[in-house]
Amino acid sequence: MTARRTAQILVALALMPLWACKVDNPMQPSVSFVAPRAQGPSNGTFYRFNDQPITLTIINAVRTGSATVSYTVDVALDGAFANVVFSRAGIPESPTGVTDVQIDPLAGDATYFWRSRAVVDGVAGVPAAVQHFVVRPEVIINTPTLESPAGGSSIFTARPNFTVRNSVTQGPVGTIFYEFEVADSSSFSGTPLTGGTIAQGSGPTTVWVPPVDLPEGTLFWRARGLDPSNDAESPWSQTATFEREFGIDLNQVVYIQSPNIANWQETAKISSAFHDAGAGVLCVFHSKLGLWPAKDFFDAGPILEGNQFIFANINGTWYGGASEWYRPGQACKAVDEQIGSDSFTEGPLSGWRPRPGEVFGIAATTPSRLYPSFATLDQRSDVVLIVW
Amino acid sequence: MNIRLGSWALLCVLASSTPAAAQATASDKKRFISAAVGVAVVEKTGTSVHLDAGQRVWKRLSIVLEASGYQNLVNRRELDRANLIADVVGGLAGQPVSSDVTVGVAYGGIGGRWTFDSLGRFTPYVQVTGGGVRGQIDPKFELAGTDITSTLDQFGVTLGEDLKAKFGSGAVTGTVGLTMERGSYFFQGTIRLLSFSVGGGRTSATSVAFGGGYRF
Repeated sequence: MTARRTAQILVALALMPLWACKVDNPMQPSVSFVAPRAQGPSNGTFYRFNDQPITLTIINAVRTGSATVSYTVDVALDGAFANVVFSRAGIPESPTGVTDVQIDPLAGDATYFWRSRAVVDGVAGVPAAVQHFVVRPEVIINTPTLESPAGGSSIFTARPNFTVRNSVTQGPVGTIFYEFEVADSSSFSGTPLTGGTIAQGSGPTTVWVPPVDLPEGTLFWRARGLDPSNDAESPWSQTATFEREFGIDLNQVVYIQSPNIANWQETAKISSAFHDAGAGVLCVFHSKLGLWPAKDFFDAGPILEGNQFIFANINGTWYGGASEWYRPGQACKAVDEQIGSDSFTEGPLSGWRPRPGEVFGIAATTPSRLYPSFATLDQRSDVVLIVW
Repeated sequence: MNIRLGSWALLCVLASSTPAAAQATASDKKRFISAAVGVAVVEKTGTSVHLDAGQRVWKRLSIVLEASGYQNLVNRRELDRANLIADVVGGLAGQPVSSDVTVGVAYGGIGGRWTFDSLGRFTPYVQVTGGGVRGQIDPKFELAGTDITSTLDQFGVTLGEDLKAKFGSGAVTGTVGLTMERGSYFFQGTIRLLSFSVGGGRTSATSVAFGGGYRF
């Protein structure tokens, strides 16, 4: 072999690897793949504003070989993606076969278009088919205002009315409801004593009545507005506190043929009060018995000290009125189940016939029947509840 | 596989049925060129063309330059990949999509040929070369008889280097051949094995070719 021929062969050998070297195209991925497919939301889905943040779900891109794949997602106000409002790249692929992307909250009352694309070997693929969804307008519910029981008030009824001034709302709200909570702690930690939800009333306020009797003591309540159809709610109101007291709220009593004694000075304290059915008497012993001044009773002289004052709960309302007269120092009066009709000629008390075991209220007053004909000091005792 | 076995059988028959009188008359001629045309098989059958040029350098050993062209050396992997894409596109389109892949390859290499004693009128040889291939992978997708390969992006498809690419790779060939001398000319039949890597895997092609050559 000549030196020339040997050189030719060597040159050919040297050039061979160059000729056969791998041809890489940096704009082409190592494997073929198909754009990911949108799994959710389905095209045209409507979202309530408060359903956000929205999660886009894409079915991973089908590909012909193993490769590291990431995804990009664009959300725009137009199908041409000229006004992109959200974009995220480098989303790692989930090994489950479906990759979720939670997007930032979007403005309400708009239609959004979205698409995804796979990125393989740094090469972005063809975008997936454009999908769209709608975010409904934002619904705002302001905090309702607590009206009653007012802060610091005393409540004598076991199931008082809780009243809020309705919330001011913005946006296309659905039916507004109000959620009430009553608790024995201002923090409302733990389960509240009671609570409930009621649709907004037709007027400016909404009233809710607890389904259970409230215990005595210091209680707290609060309320908030809800729009379940838009999954919207207001913040909780500020907390109001009130005293649930045992007894009768004299300001709420309906007085029958008698003066309102709520504001009469309470100068006497009942030491004992009872109804003795066997003896047929109703007795009230109090600290001013025999001490309040005697008053002339018609032509019989000063034989009148005061009246027994009864309170009956009839269909949830307390009615009160002066019943039996009593002489100076007299604690017990003969009564029977006709006490209502014996003392009153009109109103619910005239037909009241106490049943054995029924709870009713009793107090002692300076003369209050036929008021003010025999009025003296306009004073009263406290009110106690006893059993008939 | 059948073609491979058949080719071997043909060569064996030719070798065994030929009288042992003839001897190469050009044993003093050190150089040769030859050409052959045949078929090559991997997963599909395609034509192949082979050109060899050599010079005897020691006893029966020749240095050989080999150049070959293969019409289609597509392998199962590439066909499966294309099928996968076709299935997905078909699902999107709502109609079946067919797929095919063609892998055209050119090989160039250098190596050695050892020529054995003649068997009658035929002279067997073995040849091994090493070099490289350059090739091109071309897929084809059809939807309802229409070629959609150029519009695959409308279906979200991005073709990667495993289905649409020009590639290069190192390669080796092994050849078994028989020549039948006629003066300075000779006829030949060959079976060649070509092995190279492409698309993350290895392709081994078998070709059977017939042709002739000239010694000088």
